[in-house]
Amino acid sequence: MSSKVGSRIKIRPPRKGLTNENMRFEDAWAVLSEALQQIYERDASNLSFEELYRTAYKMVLKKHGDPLYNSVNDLVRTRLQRVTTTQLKPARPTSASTSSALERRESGNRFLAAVKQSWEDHQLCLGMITDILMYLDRVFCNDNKKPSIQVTGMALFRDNVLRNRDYDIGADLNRVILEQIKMERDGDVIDRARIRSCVYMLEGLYETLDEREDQKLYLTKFEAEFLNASNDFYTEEARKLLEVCDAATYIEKTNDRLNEEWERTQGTISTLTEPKIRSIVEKHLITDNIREVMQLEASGLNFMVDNDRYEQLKVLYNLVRRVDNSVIEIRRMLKERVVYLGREINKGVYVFRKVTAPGEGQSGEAEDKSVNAETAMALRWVEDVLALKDKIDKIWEYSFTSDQGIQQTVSKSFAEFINENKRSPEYISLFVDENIKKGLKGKTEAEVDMVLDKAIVLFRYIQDKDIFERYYKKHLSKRLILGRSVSNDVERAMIGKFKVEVGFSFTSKMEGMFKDMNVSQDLTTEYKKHLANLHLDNEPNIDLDIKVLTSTFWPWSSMSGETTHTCIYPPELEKIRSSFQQFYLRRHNGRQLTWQPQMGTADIRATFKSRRYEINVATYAMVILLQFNDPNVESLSYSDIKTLTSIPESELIRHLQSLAVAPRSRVLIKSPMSRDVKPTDKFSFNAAFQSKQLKFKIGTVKGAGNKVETDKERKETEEKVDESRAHLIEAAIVRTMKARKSLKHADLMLQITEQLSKRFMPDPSMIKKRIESLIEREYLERETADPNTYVYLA
Amino acid sequence: MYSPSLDVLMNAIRLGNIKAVQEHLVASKHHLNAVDKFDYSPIVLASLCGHYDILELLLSLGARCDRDTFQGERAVYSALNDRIRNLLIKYDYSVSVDNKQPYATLLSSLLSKEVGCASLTGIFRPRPDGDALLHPQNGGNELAAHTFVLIARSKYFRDLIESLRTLEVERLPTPSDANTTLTALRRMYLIDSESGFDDTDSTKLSVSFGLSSPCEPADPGPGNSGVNKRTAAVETAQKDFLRLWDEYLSVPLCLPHGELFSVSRLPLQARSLRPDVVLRVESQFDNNVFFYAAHRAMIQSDFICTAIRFKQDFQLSQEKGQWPITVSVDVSPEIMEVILKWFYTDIVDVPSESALDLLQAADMLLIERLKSRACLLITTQDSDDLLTGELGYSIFDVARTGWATGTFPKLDPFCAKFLAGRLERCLEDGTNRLQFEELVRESADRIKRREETDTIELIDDIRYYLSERFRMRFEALPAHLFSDEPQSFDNVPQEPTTEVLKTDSDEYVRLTAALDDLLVKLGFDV
Repeated sequence: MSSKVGSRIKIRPPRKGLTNENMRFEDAWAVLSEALQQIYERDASNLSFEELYRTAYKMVLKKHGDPLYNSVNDLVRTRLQRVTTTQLKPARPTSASTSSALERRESGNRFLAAVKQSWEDHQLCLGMITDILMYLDRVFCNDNKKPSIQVTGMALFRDNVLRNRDYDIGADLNRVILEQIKMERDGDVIDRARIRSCVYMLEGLYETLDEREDQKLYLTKFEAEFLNASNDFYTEEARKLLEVCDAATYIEKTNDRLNEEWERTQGTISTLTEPKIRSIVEKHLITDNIREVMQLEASGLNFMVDNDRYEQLKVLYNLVRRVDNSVIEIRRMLKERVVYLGREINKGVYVFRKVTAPGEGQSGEAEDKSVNAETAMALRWVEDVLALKDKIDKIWEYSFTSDQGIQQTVSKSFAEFINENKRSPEYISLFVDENIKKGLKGKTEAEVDMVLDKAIVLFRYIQDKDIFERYYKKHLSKRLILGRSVSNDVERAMIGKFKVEVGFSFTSKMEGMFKDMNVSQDLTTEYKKHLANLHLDNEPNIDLDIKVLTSTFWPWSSMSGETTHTCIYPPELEKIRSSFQQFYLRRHNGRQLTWQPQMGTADIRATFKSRRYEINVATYAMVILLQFNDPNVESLSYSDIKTLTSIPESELIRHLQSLAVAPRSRVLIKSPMSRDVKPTDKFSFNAAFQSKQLKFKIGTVKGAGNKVETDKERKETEEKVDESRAHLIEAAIVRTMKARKSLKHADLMLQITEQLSKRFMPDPSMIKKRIESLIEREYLERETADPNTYVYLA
Repeated sequence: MYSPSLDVLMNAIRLGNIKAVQEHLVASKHHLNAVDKFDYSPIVLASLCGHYDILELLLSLGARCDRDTFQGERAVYSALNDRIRNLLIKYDYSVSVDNKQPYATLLSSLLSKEVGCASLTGIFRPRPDGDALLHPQNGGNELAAHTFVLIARSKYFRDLIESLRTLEVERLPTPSDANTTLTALRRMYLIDSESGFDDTDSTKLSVSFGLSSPCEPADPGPGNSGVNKRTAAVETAQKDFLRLWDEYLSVPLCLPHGELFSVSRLPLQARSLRPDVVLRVESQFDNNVFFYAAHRAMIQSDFICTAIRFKQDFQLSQEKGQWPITVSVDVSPEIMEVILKWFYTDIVDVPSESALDLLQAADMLLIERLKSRACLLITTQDSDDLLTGELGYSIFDVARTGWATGTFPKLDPFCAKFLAGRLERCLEDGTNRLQFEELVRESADRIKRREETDTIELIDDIRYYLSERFRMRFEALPAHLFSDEPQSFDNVPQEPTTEVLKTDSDEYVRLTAALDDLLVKLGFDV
């Protein structure tokens, strides 16, 4: 049907739209308004969309856009006013004071339903109107910068319904919603969906025509009231809960409230309010009250910690974390508690110790007696501390989800009470000692590792690590020499762990000790070969198992004690001794060997009543016994033996006691038969001796086992420690000053403390003394201008 | 798209080794647009490192560099120097085929939800899903597609549906497996339209699905085969849909006024396409009513889409819900056909006499893009008939329509220029003058309504074009007329000199004066 280019003469129908038809506004508007009324009456099925659209289109073309726009708005306005009067006013809720809760709820519900309905109707109709007047919207509103019909319609609803000048529907709405929320908070059931719809409405309306997000009616008109009401409610609630509940219930209820409010923002009001209401609840229930709650006597934090209430602690932790990420209050109280419990342990009254299974860490029967009561207490102390650590760790891991800050607090707490106990380094070393000697027997590698790690954990807390070092070396040396360790590997493992913790300097001597042991083993083998080469087979062979100890590595003072150890060896022994000495000195020229007869053991074969026994005795004991080999000797007096053997007195007494007094090992007869040894006592070979075992050991009274030091010994140790500390401090001062050349007093103190803190906490007065001493010895001097500054003297 | 040897290519590009690049691309063609583990594509690297020759090579092989993709834009802004930048822009085909892009997007969005084109389809957002379910040969997921697209673009489906003889069939078997079918569909819907037609797989595909072979693009880009392929693909689609229009949709059902319409009365051809909307137009001449079958998927008119939705909502509430929905449109059948054809093919085929009608219709039906096309048609005329209105409308109608439909930014300059070129005739006493005066008044009215300025837009524009008109005449004269230099060469034809000048400038002065008089007479102080 397209016209051909050629034909010019053509009868065309009159052009539509622009100039020919004169449309009267009133006529056109009549059509439209009729249709709009029908829409509002829900009677729109007969409407022809196309026709209405066309009518509006034409009106715009005919420049009737303005009046059309205004008329439409007027119509909507009138409509809304009528709706308010006829539907909303009658449904307005009854005033609060005169009716029961049920009545109020019911009337509130009716009102909400009415509001919801009117809103939905409005939206529906407005949508259809917008569709019909689409051309007006697109063309006219755009050109003339007028707000779209949709936006205007919303504003009309706001102004004529919610802010109707006769009835304050908006205020009523707020009131009803808040009332219902209060009811729900008090435990009633309400119709949430209805409130939600009304809230949606508030979110869809704005204060102004530019519809800015922060100008939603919800935010400007409703939320503020809601938050106020909530504030009041929770102030009261906090007070009530604090009065009535114990800690567990309080936190549970707090959690409940938090959840409730969160749900409310998801399902009843708007999620926009979530952070704000949450902070209100958190403030009133947590921030304001939680400290008091935690301090409740019978149910607060201390109770929870003592009784392992993991779940409660977890809830509490999460609550506090909402308002304070570093949970300072919890940390504070926890520290107090842990330190308190630790001090109880120090006092020896720790209540929460688990009963250990028999055999775990308990010594075998024979050795039980050698570990005296104090040592037992020391071990118990360590185990109690470990038990407390376990307990707290469990809580930390589960309830506090391995919180970093809390871990720090726990460490500090442990360090505090452990270091309050001055004996803790010794105890811990004893603990390791016990385990390496007996406790780790039969355990798997993993279990061994675990025990050692526990020891390391405690070691970390010790401030005076050098004291620990001293003890550990002492214990280690005894273990090595006496061969008491369960296994060398375990020893090495422990040293390895120390190395990781504090570095090489700590462990160098200990490793030296190990080396000595190994070297000694090799030496023994070498010596035996050497002997074999010499073909000395006419002499009864005395098997010599030698241990050569480098003096610098081993802690002499604790081993040798004050007395010098003299000894006259029987000729057979003397031969062997000098032979070995020659052998050794030939190998290692320039060294000096000092024999330590107070240590070491000997295996003796002895015949009693024609039974042959093999007895293991201390070296001194052996020397004593060998005196009785001489068939001419009937008995020897104490002084005889003393002269013959030249053994120091205290040792002599001890050994004689073990040989003649101790019940199972009376290989000598003592007369008179008494505990003490007097110079006049006589000793003789006990031919009638018998023992059930063919091979047995005669231990020494007041044995060489490691045990807790006496006070005297402890003081000695302390003095020694102080001495070495003084040296360390001086070395550190000289080192620092050499590097810095000149330093203020305060800075120097700081530096020194920092450097040494890994080993021990230096005492400031001691540092000062050392500085003075160094100044005297002209390593440093004071600056003349500023006596507070030191200068290094080369 | 990352394979080990891609790094080899990338390194070659970095080092500027054009020979290696060339060899590599011969072996692995698909690396041309690939992306490596650092997110670089070859042209980005070439551009970044400043290797002009390599870049040229890549582009000539068909590397994609359109500005509306991530890699393309990157290549341009990280170009090492201007020379490279200009090269890339020259090859940017998103500019050159921009006018085809919306149509392609419209079609693609029917198949793939990722292709967004809300702005083209107005208010009715969710794109209508396909109404036909394809069963691939070896099982696999069913694929949804639109019957009318299938019939338009694939001979296989055309024949198949025809042979089925019933319109209720929804399930259609396909000649290939799921993957191939999907590829074919994507080709039909203009997704991946630059994948080559030259490899054997796609030839097989074309054959088995009966796809039309691509035509040579009307306007080949600068040797860029990617551009060409894309354009070719779109043009092929247009041809397919044009055929669809001609054979299936262009003939409406014609009923006398008052007779009841029912879908079954539509021509079979149309019904076989399963239309979901029927457009009803009344004839202006006689008592007939025409019904055109169409598809929501291709409708780009906000009015029609809203009408459909409006009616659909009602139908839902009254439980009548049935497709197709009938929408009455207040245009002539001619115009309706032009519009519908444009919906399907993006081709406007209308004599210039109807251009104004088209513009008005597009405005009423709220079809923005078509308005631009219509304006284009109008403004390419230059016949004196426009003054007299012999064609059916006059220049004055054009101006008014421009104002009414909001297209005056395009039409005002055109009108002003036209009038300036024929100002003498407008100022002569007669109908022209009357109409001219009326137009001036209306133009003045427009402004006074909005803001208080002193000038009348139309007059301003006319004055400007007037001066342009005469300035151009001046420029057409040889330069030596303006200089004092003596004439230097012989074969310069002696133009009429000062006489011409004098006449022209006289003319200009005269016209300007007459214009001013007219304004005074009308009571304007401009």
